[in-house]
Amino acid sequence: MAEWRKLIHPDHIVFGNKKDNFWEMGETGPCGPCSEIHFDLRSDEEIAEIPGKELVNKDHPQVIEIWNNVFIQYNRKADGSLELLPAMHVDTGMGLERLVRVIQNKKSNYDTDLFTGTISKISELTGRSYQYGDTRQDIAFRVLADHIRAISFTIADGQLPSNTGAGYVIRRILRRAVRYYFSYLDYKEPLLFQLVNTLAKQFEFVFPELILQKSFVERVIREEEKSFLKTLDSGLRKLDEVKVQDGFLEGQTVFELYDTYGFPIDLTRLIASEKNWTIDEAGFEKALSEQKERSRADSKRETGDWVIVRNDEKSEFLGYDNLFLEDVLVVKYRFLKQKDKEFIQLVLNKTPFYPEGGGQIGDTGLLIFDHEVIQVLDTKKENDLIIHLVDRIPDNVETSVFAEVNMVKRKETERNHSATHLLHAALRSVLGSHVTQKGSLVRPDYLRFDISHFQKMTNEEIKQVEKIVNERIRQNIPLQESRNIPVKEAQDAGAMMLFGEKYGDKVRMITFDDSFSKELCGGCHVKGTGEIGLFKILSEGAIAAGVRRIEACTAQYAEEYVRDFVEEVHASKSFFKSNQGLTKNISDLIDENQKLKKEVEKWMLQHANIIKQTLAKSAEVYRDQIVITSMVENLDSKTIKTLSYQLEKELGDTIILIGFVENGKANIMLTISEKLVASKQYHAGNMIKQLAAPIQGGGGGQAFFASAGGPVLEGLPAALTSLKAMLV
Amino acid sequence: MSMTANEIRQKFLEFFASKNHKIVNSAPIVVKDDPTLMFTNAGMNQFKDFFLGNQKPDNPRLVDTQKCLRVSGKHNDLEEVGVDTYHHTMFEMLGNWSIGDYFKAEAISWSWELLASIQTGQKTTLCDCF
Repeated sequence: MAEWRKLIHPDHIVFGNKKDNFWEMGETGPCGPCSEIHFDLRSDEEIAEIPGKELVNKDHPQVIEIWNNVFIQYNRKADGSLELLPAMHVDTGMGLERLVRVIQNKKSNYDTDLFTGTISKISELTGRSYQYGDTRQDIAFRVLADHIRAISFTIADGQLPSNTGAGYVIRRILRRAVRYYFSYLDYKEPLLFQLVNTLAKQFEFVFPELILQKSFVERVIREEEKSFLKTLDSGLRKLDEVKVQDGFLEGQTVFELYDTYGFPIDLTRLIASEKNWTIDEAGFEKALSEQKERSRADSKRETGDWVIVRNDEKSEFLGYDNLFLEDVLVVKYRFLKQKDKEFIQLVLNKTPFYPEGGGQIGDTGLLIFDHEVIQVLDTKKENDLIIHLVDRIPDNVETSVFAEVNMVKRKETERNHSATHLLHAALRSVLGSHVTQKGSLVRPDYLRFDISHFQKMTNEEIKQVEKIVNERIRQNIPLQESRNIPVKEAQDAGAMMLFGEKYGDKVRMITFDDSFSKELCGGCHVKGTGEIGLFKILSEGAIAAGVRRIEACTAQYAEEYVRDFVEEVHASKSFFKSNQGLTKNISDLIDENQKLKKEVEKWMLQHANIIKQTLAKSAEVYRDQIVITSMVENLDSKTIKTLSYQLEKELGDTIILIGFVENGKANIMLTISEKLVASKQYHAGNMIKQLAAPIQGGGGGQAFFASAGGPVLEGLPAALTSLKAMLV
Repeated sequence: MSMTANEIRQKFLEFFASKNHKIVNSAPIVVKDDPTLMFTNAGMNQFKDFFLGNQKPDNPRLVDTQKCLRVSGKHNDLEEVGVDTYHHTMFEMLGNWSIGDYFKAEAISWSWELLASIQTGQKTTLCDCF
């Protein structure tokens, strides 16, 4: 406050309040008072009428906050109290889009050169023009110009659209944009991906990650658009089929369209209003909030305050060189409740435990306090703090600890991590340099690696990649590790850079053969590639547009995989006497099977024909109608049905009742010509119920065809003879 | 002709560079290693550990433009974006930081100096303090 008085007239200073002028990062964490700078963009007349002071933080569109200076001096604890931080900091933030609007003297952020390029591209594509107003069409222009930025940069930073977490947020944003151009710009084809080029060029020198991955980002967006446009199409059809009573659309139906079919609620509203339906909004809201409640309960997580054990210690990772450490001290700990289970998070002054990161899972192992052994269940990083997850707190947290990583698991993980680097390099040499990492999981038992690549890998390519990796393993290339080198140096050395990674100034570079694999990586690796032993690809498939996933394993897991395969082959071979190769044996067997099948079908047909003739011969005329009642053997119900239809067609006004046994059950099947149904008012479905009494069966059907089944096989002759009594 | 957005961004970075701030890159818009946050929502996110005292930066004065994403909260409901003319999903946040270095006096006089040096269309600047 005093600082401002030196600079500006007191009329322009507003005494704020705690709500607006005390900044907090979250429920807990660093916080402090802040000083906001607002601009008053109104005309002189307006300012004369109401002083700007009265409109600050009142949501006036022309009196806006431009810059916030936060003076961080406290830490908010979980119980709500404030503690003074050891040092004081300044944190400021100024929204560029608003600032540019003010400087360029525009009424709207969308009229600045941050957005006009995209807006004119949308105009060019849709043949419509932006009118700077509030019509649905103008809103659609702004929605597209805004959303394409969020979508493009998030994908460029490595987040693909998906069904959970951050990926789902991107999918929602993208779908909202599609809805707007679909409904209000009358554009029914993928549009967004065509805006990426304009955006990439605009940000070429600010955020180059977009232009460097342009075709990948375009591809991902286009495929997402395509699949959502398909969803919209099928949702529209679904809405056409929906049963609406008295023009009232049930909330549950709306929710189902939204939840199961991904059909957006506002589109449902739009269509409903076009058809003059009312929507059960309350019912929809209820279904929606029930679902939200379910997912909230799933993800609930409570953390307590850190309990400081030692103040002066730092948390240092020494796990590249040590799998166990003596004289480790607990720095702080806190309680964590997740899904009703209690855990403890521990921070140590130094640790051999690798925290999950770069795809590699966190280490597990033991912490030994005096004579008390505590299991480390997982190790994670929160910001840059290494957190050990344990299920109970030791009796004496002040004592020194022996920390020991589960060595077997770690070694297996290292093999898979180094194998991932070899795989990455091999993929680039076989498929091309467009291949970049899109995801990675390194576990002890297997590895998963996602890459940008547009076709399915051929068997030949997979074989080629496996061959290169295994050759490199046999060369036993020693690990070259450069810690703490400047990013620039690594880049100049030709290291593969990943987009969407937060690099410090200093990085760690992992090299296996200067001319083969060089990556920035914080993970754990073998000392020489020979340790990997054997590498085997288990599967290759698509996980998203333009992204392929490879799963592989190494060492004894690869050995087991190969051995299981070989054993299966041996077992299969033992079925065959001749030694002409398993493939030939199996294909011969398939051929023979096919031949036999055809043979059987032929015989069955002949058998059926013979039975048909016998049945035809057994026909008798009873009260002007042809009646057949007979038992049939060795035919299935489908064939008997076909036979009955054929006979009925050939003979004319017939009633056919066949008895047969199928799957150990007594069955009867009744077929009546349509003419007889009409002239004599027969109904096979009703008649069969009575006929089935002797077999204690149940059944039913239509007027001209019905069937029934029951457990009493001996009742079949009685069932057949009882027909005549029912005929008129 | 007023400044372009690219020029304005550059001006901000260079102004603080001239006050011995180090220009750093934007962190990725997608957050890793933080269970409380899905997307970067403010410039300070990537410096959280500096404020908490878990780590020390090489240079105590920093400046950058940060890619941010907000899709929930008072003014950031996704369904509202585009309806008005000034809320966004993704935006850039310009920011300068002191990590245990300068405090109120310098921060306020520099922000005043910078705003005064650029030709802005507004007539009045107001300050809201606590």
